[in-house]
Amino acid sequence: MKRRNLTILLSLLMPVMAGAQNADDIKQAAGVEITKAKSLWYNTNNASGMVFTPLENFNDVTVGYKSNSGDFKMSQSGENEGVIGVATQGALNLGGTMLWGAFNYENITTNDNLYNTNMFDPFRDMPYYVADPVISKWKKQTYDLRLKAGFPVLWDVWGIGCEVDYITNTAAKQNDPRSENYYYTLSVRPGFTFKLSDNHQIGINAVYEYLFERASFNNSDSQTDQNVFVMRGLGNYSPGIVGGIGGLQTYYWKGNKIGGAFQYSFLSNGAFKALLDVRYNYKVEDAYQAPTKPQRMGSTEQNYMGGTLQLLADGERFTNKVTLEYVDKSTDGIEFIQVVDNSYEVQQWVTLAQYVRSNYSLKVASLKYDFFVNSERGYSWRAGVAGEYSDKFDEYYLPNSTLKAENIYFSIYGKKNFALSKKSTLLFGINFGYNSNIDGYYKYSGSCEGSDIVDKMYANDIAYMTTNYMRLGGELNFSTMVAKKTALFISANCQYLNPDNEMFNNRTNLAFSLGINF
Amino acid sequence: MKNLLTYFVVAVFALGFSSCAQFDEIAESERVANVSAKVVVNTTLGEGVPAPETYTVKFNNYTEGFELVETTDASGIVNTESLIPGIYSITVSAEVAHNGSVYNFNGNLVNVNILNNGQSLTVDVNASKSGALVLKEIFYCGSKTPSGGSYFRDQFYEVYNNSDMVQYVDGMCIGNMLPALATANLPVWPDEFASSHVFFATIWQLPGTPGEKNYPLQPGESIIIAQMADNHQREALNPGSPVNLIGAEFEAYLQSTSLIKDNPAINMNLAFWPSPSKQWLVTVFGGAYAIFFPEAPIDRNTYITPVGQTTKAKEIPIDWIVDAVELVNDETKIKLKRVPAVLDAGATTVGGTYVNKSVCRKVKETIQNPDGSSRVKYYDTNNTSEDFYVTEIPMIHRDGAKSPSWNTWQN
Repeated sequence: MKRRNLTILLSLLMPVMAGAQNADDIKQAAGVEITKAKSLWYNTNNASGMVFTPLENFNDVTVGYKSNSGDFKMSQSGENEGVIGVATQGALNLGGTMLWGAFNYENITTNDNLYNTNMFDPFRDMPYYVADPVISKWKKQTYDLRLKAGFPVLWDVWGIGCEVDYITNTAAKQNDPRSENYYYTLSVRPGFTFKLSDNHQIGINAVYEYLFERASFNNSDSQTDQNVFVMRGLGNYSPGIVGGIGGLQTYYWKGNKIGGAFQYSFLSNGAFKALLDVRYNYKVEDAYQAPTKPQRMGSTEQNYMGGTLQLLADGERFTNKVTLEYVDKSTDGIEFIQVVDNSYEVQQWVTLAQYVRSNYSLKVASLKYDFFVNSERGYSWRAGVAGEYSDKFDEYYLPNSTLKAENIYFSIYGKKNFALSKKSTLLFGINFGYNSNIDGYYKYSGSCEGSDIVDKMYANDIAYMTTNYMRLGGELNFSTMVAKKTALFISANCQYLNPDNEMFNNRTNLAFSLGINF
Repeated sequence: MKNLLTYFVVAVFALGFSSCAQFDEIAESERVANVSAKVVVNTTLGEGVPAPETYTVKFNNYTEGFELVETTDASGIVNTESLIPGIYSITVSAEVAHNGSVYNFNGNLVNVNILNNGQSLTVDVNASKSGALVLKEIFYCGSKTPSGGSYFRDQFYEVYNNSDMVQYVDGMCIGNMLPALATANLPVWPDEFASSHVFFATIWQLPGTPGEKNYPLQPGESIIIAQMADNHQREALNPGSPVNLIGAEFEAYLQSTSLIKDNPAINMNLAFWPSPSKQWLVTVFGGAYAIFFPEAPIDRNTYITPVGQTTKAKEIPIDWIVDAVELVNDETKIKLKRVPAVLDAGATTVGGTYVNKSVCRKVKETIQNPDGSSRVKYYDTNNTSEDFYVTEIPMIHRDGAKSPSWNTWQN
């Protein structure tokens, strides 16, 4: 089934890639950046609108290596991470149909992870998983396929489009207690637009996502059972064992997300464009243990509301863009009281009661301004400022524990696109950011006081989330035409995070890539 | 392409249907709040048995790691309003000294659902005198060999005279109960035995008949019952073993093999074991054990089976039991009790297999003997959770326990 899905999606992507052979021009890094910035509908989940603000044609293929190192991190991130990846993306206007597709493969090695035994991504709003105190290495692979298609406007008023994402991941923890993990998500977002006039369009799109993750446990040393924490949120856990008779069995998570979004766009006859995108998603995810005799380990119910306003002034010489965004995400953690019904006809775990035990809330408001000086190669330079306010508040109701992290982050950035010759360009960028913590605390009053989870994991994480830090980064991208429609590029990106907290030293993110635009 | 579209539409509808069911289930959730409960202690007092003034009532929600301890009023009632909804073990206990004897009052309710406010629960409590003979130390989890292998032949059970009078162990039985492992899937025993008996997988009997006086045990003396009464630390066995059991008083010997031999220890008689193997290996994950004196001969050829199962068990009246200890795989299994509360209201664990650890009773007091020597008196409240601790290393005759004088073969 997985192979079949892959085949289907690859076949959908093929026209995008193949079509590029006929393109008259190619977009290099700066060109790709600015065409994405200008295509307001591309930045929504309603692909049907892409025909109103189309992307210009581009294609690229990249092979790269990324590394993250340093102790300024959440406990569950690796102290050292290495990612080898291959990525490709392309946009094509094919007879009025606007297509964009991307494929990304990553082979990830993370070292010195803590407190995650069985989840591919322990940061994905799922508090019900298994943790252990053993410093571990993980090997992970990600296959990420994405497609947006906006079809020609029907009867001069109706736009139809669809987005499909299929992301599949595998992972294996390399130290006892071990796990082998398989995780995929499939998202489908059909969308419609209605053209009220040449200047006004409205759109609506639906969202459906299915996720499934499965993790089985084992120990290399089968004689030594491993103590683990069966996590329930905000530092609360039940003790568990991996290995032996009665040890934890295969965990699996199943989730469904539905939702929708409404868009309104104004495209003036001049340079001004605006697009408002208002979104709502509802997601439920269940965690189970033991597929043959499922025991509910917890569920989450998430309500997500978001809105984005993009304002674009796209002149001949300059492009100005303002992006305002607000996100409000609230996730309830639900726990079940279950017993085994041993009667012959049942022989299953049955639920006696279920309670909302915790809530995880995140509010983010951001404002971003980008300024481009246009050129034939995308832009000659760009600059921008951004500010983001975030307020995270988590609560475990009974016994009551709370976590708060309220931050404001400012950044300023700029890039210069040097035309070295007719064939070659050098894109140089720098960025600076500063995070200022407004408020934050972790107050725990459950039965796990004094445990590693409370005293080490959460102590580290709340410190990370409430630390003032400075970010300084730079990037270089050298690109040169090697054939009529092909440019070769190499790029490097470095980000350095310097926290103002004695608990941490720093964090450095490095990325190198080699690729072609065609 | 048409088929593809059909598959896609069917898949979308199937997923949509499953998501609706999932959403409906979650919609039933309500925000958690404290619940109240009332516990009424119902004590059955025998003749001459004193009544405690109050009882200690302990609410344990093992899943949450939540424990609440309350004391009853004079009428044996306790009300609490600060419970987290969940599944509880409620343990009621009290201790009264009277006329030179110590009476333990124990009762419990296991896996009680406390989900709604105002629930009233009655706990039946029975009194028992602290036992004269107690299981003092049990080494069940086995040990590691120097090469990292697993070794289980060094299991032992120490029975101690915790009283002030000489006791005789002639004809005493020791056995492990069913189910072998702590489990949520408890067997259903026939109605005529279910509440009045406990059920053994294996029973061994010391030589003699109860009432005979060939094997006296003075106060402060103990006997070691070994799976195999050998020096386990010798090269051919396991130099990594924590114990040398060559001086053990009794062993469960069946037949010799390249590793098993008939050691100096007195061989016990196999009283019940439907399908014996070459050695008496009781699960290294933690069994439920008891010692008792049979009031009638044990017929090794008769047995009962749980309803719907074929496992063979010997039913033994609860009244015969002298002492019982429940051990489980790990902390998560403590709630899965097998032994009735009147025998053992709790359970404990070393938390792993082959970890060179044992469980041992906690010392209650040290008593000076008339001859100037001393002996230890151990806790015996019939609650293993309270009475036992996990040792760092197993040891026979810990705390100065002496071997009986009739053991002439020990070093």
